[in-house]
Amino acid sequence: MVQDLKTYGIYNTVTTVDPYDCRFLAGYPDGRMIRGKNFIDTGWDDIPQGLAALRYSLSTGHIITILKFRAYLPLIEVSLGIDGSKMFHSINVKCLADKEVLVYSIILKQTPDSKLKIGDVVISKEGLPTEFGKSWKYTDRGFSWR
Amino acid sequence: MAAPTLSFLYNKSGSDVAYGGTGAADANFGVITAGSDTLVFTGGGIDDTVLTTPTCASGTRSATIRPSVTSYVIPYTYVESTIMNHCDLVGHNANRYTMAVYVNGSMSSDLFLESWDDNSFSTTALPILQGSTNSSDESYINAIRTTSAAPPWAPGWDGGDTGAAYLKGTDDRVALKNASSITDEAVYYNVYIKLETDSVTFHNTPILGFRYTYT
Repeated sequence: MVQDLKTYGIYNTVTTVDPYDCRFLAGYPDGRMIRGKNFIDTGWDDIPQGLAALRYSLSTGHIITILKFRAYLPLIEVSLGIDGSKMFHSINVKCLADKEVLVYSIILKQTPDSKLKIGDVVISKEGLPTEFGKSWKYTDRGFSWR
Repeated sequence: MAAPTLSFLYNKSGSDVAYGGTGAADANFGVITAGSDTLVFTGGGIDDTVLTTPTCASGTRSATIRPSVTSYVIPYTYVESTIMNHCDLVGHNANRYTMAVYVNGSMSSDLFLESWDDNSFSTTALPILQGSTNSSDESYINAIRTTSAAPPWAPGWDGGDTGAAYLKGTDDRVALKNASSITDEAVYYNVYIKLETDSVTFHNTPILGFRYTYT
């Protein structure tokens, strides 16, 4: 069921994804696909290396396919208010290319005035990281979604 | 990894010492219960005698009188739950261990202290965040990272100091550790509100929020 959530602030109303119904979809060369749990406990660190394709499924029905790179590191950007509020802003998928890192930022919230809507992707560049932790997942070229 | 758990803490003892727990209250720090407790900046009005310490009745306020000669720091900070607990170390001073956030788990970024109009985390239009001509249109909320060192005091710190900000959205925020990751540790900050003589009259309830990333 396609679903979004509303946050009613004193001044603004924001539409967000349901983080409990968003996940990654990791494909492997042998045809396996591992589904992430949700955006609270993603399960990303538990999946094996060598994935061949990466997609994100949002509760709003959006499916975002990330182009194939050498490795991925997805970072969920969230805010927690002292008032107990919680807001999921974006998931920033760092994608390792040969000489740089491209960051695919998938938007997870929108206001009526937002230029960027849920499911939009903003791409930016970063330099190569100085170290690669275990959360980086390397790819195996040669797989494609069928 | 799963999302880290954050515990919001305030120094309740008056002793400027580090937090020794892992998220729960200890001898020096109390827990700000997210969703029910409130951080209150008050005083400098005609009813300051009602602001007793170390606690006073929930709902007690002494509205700050707008300064007429020079800028003015709102003098009292409380954490309000069923009663109001005075945070006497918090404010325009060189105290280090005043407010804390304990990170249980790991985040893949720094922890950023921000302020917004409300829990939509989308606008910063309130007068307290917009500031005024006398504050150079900077927010009135001054905050500083004190995780690795006490704030400077000669003659005092403000949002323009290193590791500090006049809190306003993502443009002006404080990185509480100044590092690329945080795991199972406490980070610290100090905060105060300074009104200017050209401040408009307001009763604002912005939120303090903490932004981070995780995998």
